[in-house]
Amino acid sequence: MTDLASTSPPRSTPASTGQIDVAGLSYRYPGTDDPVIDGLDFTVEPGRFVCIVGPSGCGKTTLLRLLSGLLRPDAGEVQIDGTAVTEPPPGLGFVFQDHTRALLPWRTAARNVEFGLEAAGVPRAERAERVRDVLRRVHLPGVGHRYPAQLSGGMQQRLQIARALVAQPRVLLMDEPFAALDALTRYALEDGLLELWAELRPTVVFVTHDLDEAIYLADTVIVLRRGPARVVRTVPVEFARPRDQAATRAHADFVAMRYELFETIRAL
Amino acid sequence: MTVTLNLTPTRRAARPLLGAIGVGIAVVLWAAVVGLRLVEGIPGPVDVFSALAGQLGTPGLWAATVHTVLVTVAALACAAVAGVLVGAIAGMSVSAGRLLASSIDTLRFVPPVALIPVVLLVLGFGVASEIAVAAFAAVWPILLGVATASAGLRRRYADVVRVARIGPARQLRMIYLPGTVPAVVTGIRTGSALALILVIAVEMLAVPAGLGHEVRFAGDALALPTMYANIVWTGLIGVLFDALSRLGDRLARGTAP
Repeated sequence: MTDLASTSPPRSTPASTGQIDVAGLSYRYPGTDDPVIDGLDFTVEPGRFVCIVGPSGCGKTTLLRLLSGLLRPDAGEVQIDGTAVTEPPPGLGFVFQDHTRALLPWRTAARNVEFGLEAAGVPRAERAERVRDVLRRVHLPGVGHRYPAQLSGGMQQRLQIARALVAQPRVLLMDEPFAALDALTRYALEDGLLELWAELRPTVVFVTHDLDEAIYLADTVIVLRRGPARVVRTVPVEFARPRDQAATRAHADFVAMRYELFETIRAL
Repeated sequence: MTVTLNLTPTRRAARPLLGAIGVGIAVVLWAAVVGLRLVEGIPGPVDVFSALAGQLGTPGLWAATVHTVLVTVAALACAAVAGVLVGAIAGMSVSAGRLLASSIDTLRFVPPVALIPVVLLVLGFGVASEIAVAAFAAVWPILLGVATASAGLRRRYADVVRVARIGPARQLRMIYLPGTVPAVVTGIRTGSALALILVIAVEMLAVPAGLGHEVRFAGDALALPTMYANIVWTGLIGVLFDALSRLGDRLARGTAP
């Protein structure tokens, strides 16, 4: 382990920050009658990987926006490390579903990744080094000088992940980041994400409508029901890590869990 | 004639050739109208082009050309700075946009020529007046283009900006200025024609310098071939401006696909 410590980033110790507490969270979109989310409670321990699944329109994206502080709740609150979230706090990363609305087309890949560091006033020399390092970690070495439009959808989404991770966030929120990608690209990106998570250990809240993806990635799967969103089940996923796309997904427990979750959601 | 490797010879050569044929037809029609005496008081192309050749042999027309071009470029630069700053501010913030919208909409329908007397009184019969009037004309396409583009950027990157916790000054530098480059270049392209027109108008009406003055002076002296030669020359300068701004347009889009 000691020779690894020199190459790993400052946050190599098991996560001690990044706890998310959600209490009595309620939200109603202005001009609508029924709340999307009503009295939601859950906790995410530091460094955990949590996936949120539920039928479409159940408020998954709204929940993520509330967790990030992009939306303010009507009642209840979100706390990150004991501090109430009213605006996106420092140390928060967000990977948006639509990379075309997240990456800046006039910046090269490297300049897109350093965007957040530049915004935080990190000196240029340090930025360059961290950008090179994170591009290597997301398996995009040597594309730093290219523009987003010259990269495939999967590469652009990796770029967005690199941009979120380069600032070494305590909390990483991901809104169906792989939904628009083909299956093989998605598998590669899932493994890449797990690898990075294992090294950097941010707390991850990952929204998806894909049950297989949720089970494959998560420590815990939270199942939401619709109208208004409530936690129906919280399912611990205890497969050993690192996981394997073929073996883990073929495991009898995986198949059983997938069946059970599917039945749960279908019954909602 | 040297023969070089050219993969698409006909299509590349056809474009300027067609343009030249178009000009040729216009000149022939012009010569016919004058030769058949359909209109009185217009010199034929032979007279005009020989007058132009004569004019180009003297320093006067060249000095006037340099004057008009420099003034137009200066006016465009002023219009670009003002248009980018005000446009970006109007687009960056919803309330700033509302605050500025009524003033912008009122001012942009003021004909720039109507401002000439006012500007002459304030700035005098010189270069400053030419620049002010032309910049006033050229600022609107830039300002409105930048404001629209900035409002689009504001909506598109609202979440990104908030998660990255970027303040307004950094937003201007990191999002709005680079993101509106295509709108600025397009605005300058539209504005350059307007600026050139207004510079020449002010020179014809009030400021005794530049191409506008040359046209007016030759007309007052009833030197009609020279006057038309100056008009043709002014048109050629306009073509040059358009070609340059097209090039700028292409370069700007090339760096930010």
